[in-house]
Amino acid sequence: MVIAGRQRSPLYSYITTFLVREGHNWETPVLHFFCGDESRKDCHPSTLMSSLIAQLVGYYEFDLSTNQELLNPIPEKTTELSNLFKNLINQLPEDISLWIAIDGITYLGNEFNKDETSLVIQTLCKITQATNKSIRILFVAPSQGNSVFEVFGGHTIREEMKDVPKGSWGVLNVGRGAFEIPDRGRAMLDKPRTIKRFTRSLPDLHRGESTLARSEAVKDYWKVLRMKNLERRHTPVVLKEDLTSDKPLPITQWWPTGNSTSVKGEPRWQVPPFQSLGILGTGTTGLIRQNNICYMNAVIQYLSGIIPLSEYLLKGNYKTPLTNNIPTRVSSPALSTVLAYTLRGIWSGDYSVFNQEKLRVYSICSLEYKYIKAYYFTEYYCPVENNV
Amino acid sequence: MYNNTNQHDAMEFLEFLLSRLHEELNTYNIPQKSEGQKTPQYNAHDKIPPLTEWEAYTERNNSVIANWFHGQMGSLLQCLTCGRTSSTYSAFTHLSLPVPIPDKKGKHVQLLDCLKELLKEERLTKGNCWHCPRCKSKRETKKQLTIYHLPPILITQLK
Repeated sequence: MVIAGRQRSPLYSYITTFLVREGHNWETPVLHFFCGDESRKDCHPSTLMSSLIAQLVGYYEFDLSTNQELLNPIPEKTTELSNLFKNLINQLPEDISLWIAIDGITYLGNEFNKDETSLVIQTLCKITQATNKSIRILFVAPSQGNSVFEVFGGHTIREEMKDVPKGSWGVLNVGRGAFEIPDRGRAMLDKPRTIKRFTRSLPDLHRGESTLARSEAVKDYWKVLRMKNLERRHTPVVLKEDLTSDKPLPITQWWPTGNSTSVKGEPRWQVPPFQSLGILGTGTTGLIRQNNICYMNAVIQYLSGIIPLSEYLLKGNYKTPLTNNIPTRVSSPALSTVLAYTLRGIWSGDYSVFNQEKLRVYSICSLEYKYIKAYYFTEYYCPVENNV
Repeated sequence: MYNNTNQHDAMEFLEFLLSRLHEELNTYNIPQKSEGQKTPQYNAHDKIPPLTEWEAYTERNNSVIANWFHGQMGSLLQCLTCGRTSSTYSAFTHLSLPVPIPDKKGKHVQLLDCLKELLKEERLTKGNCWHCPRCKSKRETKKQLTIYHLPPILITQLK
């Protein structure tokens, strides 16, 4: 459904915010995007799509072993993102209900993004039709003065929209002055609208990474630091070429794996000399911090500093646990995979800053981790309470 | 909201990561023993139980994580009235160390001091007394923690 008014009004954002919060109360996931929030010029339809994907992945646990797209670098083009979103929606069970609320879609529809915005709108509209799932979409936008909104035609349906059956969507016109809310109400609503809802969207991370990587000065600084540290840092004994190998590699036997020796009173393990061959980078790669996940980054950096563990994961030994052919209790080593991916970024020496979004995606996926969940909910569902 | 509990979060996150990794890499495939099985009781001077318990534990938990990060600790309770003792052994993934107050002002506290503080004999009085099964009442108790197996990589947390 589309709610359209003749004028920009905080009421529309209020409707979206209300829906998002109520959806949480009714345990219906609401994917949402406030286009007006992003005052930056680079707000793009692809930002919208990737934000929706990020939220969808946050709500439902997708099997990362079958969804290779989630492990690949995040696509940048709107078309690819739309396809990914469609694929993910198709994987959801039939009995779910899902709401998508998009506020101020016309913000995106300038002359450069017009086509892509139409594509996004069409994709979303078709999704509601193609499946038996109960997926409802709400676009909130002023009805006049913008070319994108002509996709809906205001009152007449355009050529592209003919695929979408009539009656699947409608336009609710809100007359001018029908719902005037006083300035006080607006003051309260302004705050949730200015919250950075986009920090979780994936292109933001890319942007951060590229900004940092672009700066040559920073690069040189890290190069010098790496060279300095190369001699005294311990590194995992892995050849750089091996990082791309699919097969598990033999690992250095850091400690005996069994504990049988301890019975006889002999030491159970002996500390081997750490080898500092410097084959890889020095592991001095930064991790991008998004919001307050710095504690996670600290833990990941800490784990990467445990050389045996790094080596174990880098060499891909998690694919075949210690004794061969014995299946583990958990069917796919998803966390090991993403952690190995992150460690690869840290140790490869190719990056000055590494984007660990995959680990984050996984953390969000496994809702058992209560803090992620709580964090997710506080940011998204109580914007008003948080700020008043 | 979570900005001010970062330290706490980091430890929890580490625990979560390690336990999940352990789950994924564990090669032990037989379902856990049924709950009805009673935990065996041992005498305090019996030297074997910690080892046998540890062997059973390592058999059930066989992953690099368990081999590198898990250790075993024993807790010995002794009733000060009748002398009855009770020991329990448990595996740990990290040690939460209390920081002792230095004897002299300006003296630095070493990590070893924290470890000693953790393993110090402790008296349980009043509220948290141990219910002695022989006296059948709450008695003053002394409590002693002992580390039986140190992991190759020990994770410590300062309380």
